[in-house]
Amino acid sequence: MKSRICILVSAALLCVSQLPQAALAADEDARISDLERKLEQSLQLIQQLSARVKQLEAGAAAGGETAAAQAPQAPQAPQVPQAPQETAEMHQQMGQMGGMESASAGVPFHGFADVGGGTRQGEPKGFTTGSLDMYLAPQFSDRVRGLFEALIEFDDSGEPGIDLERAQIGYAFRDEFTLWGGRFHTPFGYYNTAFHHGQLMQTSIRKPRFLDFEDKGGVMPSHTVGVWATGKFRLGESKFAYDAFVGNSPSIVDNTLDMNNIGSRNHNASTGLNVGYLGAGGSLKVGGHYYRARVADDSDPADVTDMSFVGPYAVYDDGLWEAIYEYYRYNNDNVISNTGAPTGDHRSVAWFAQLGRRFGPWMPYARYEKASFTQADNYFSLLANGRSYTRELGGLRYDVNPRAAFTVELNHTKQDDLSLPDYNEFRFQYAIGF
Amino acid sequence: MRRTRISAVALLVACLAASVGASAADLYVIANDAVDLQPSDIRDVYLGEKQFSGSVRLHPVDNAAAQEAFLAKVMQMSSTAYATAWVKKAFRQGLTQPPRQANDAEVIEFVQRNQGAVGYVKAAPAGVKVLQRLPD
Repeated sequence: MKSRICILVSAALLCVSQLPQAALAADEDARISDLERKLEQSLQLIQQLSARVKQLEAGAAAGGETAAAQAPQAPQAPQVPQAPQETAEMHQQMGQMGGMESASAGVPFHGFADVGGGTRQGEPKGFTTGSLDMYLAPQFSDRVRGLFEALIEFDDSGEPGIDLERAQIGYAFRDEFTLWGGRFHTPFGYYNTAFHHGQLMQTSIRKPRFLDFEDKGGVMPSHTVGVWATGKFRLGESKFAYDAFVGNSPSIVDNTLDMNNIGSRNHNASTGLNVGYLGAGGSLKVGGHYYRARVADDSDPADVTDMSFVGPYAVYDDGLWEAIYEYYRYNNDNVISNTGAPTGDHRSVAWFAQLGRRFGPWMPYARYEKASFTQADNYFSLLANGRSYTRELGGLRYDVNPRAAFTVELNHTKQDDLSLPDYNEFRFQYAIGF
Repeated sequence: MRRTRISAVALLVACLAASVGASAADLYVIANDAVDLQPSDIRDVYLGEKQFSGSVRLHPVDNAAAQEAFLAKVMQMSSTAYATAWVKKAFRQGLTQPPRQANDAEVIEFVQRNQGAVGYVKAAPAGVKVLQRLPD
């Protein structure tokens, strides 16, 4: 009996002793489940917050408004039960807006600047401040983009001025067809659209004189205000490139070409076409161009000229050799002439050939230019620099790095019309890009 | 007999070592699932000459950890020439140079996340479309 009691007491004690352990085990299971649940919630929360951060980072550059608009949504993050669904939706939306994520990563701001100096017979000599060329290339969407270029430079009297050189907005329909509207560099030849205003871009300091920009006395309509279609087609290993445009016909104002930024004064359109073949892995481009416009000057009554030019060009640049050749044959018709020059057709010619070779960072180069402008042609005779000339030019460029170059250059220019004096010119320049 | 076995084992080890070395220097050009490109298009994509794959706008991305090999194998140009080409491209056409990610993981994440994204990595990737494998 005593032994039975002992057994019962022992069993009871054993049971009692096990009770807290069972309770503890139950508590531990519950605690682990709770921790697991909290961990799962934390992971979901991290995922959600990560997605939110990425979304905000992508949108931040698009402007404060976007960020501000999204910021108040951040407190929604603690809605843990919806987190996985929300996160998935965010990823889906971001995938759909993938293009926008890149596109809205900020507006690229770039520019070029140069300083230098030189000496030319009969002209001021010494150091010059050069120019500051800034451009923005905003991407408004996958297909819409803009290009705005402003140039700050000093004129001949030393006064600073700012020009909006390019202001164009484009829509890319496909690789073979982009349509631009606004003010753009007229796509004739190669030089005018290849180097623009960035001194660093072009090998030489001086452009070919007849291709100078209008406000520098150039005789070519370097800018056009209108619409421009451009694209490239693949032809096996090669490509076919085209440019076609229509814009305001330029005018001659104060002996300078004016591209009529706010509408054509003579209500005539300029048109042009440039086609080219690209081969040798993109190193070679051979093409031809055509341009026509009706140009009136600012005299009263106005002189009116139907101006047109046509010609071939060829470029080879394989990273070692650079060769550029452009030829322009003008066929201008003095439609209305009050200058005493006869009406009718007048032929003129201009061309240049440039050759350079890279030796590591060094690049010696040489160029020959020749322009034979008929002075009976009102278009040339009314322009300040519409005179015949020949120029031999040579220089040496040193590329400090891809974004900086130092160049020295010498040219001899022989002016053939109006007994203008020949001259020699030496220039040096340090140009950068950013 | 023993000598033959040793030679065979040595040959096997040499082959394995060689294969490991080759795969370590491989390069994979990858793209988002929405992208449909031929290997011959890749150079044009990275020079801004090709901007669309069908209706999808392409978004190439550079990989700092593999750029040197990519430029040598695919672009066949130096990093200087590549940078210069993009300076000109941006100025002439308003295009922007591909953004640069630090490593394979970042490139893969970018490619997975962005419709139209194209990138390149050193290690065989999973979960993305491989457009081209470039052996060493």
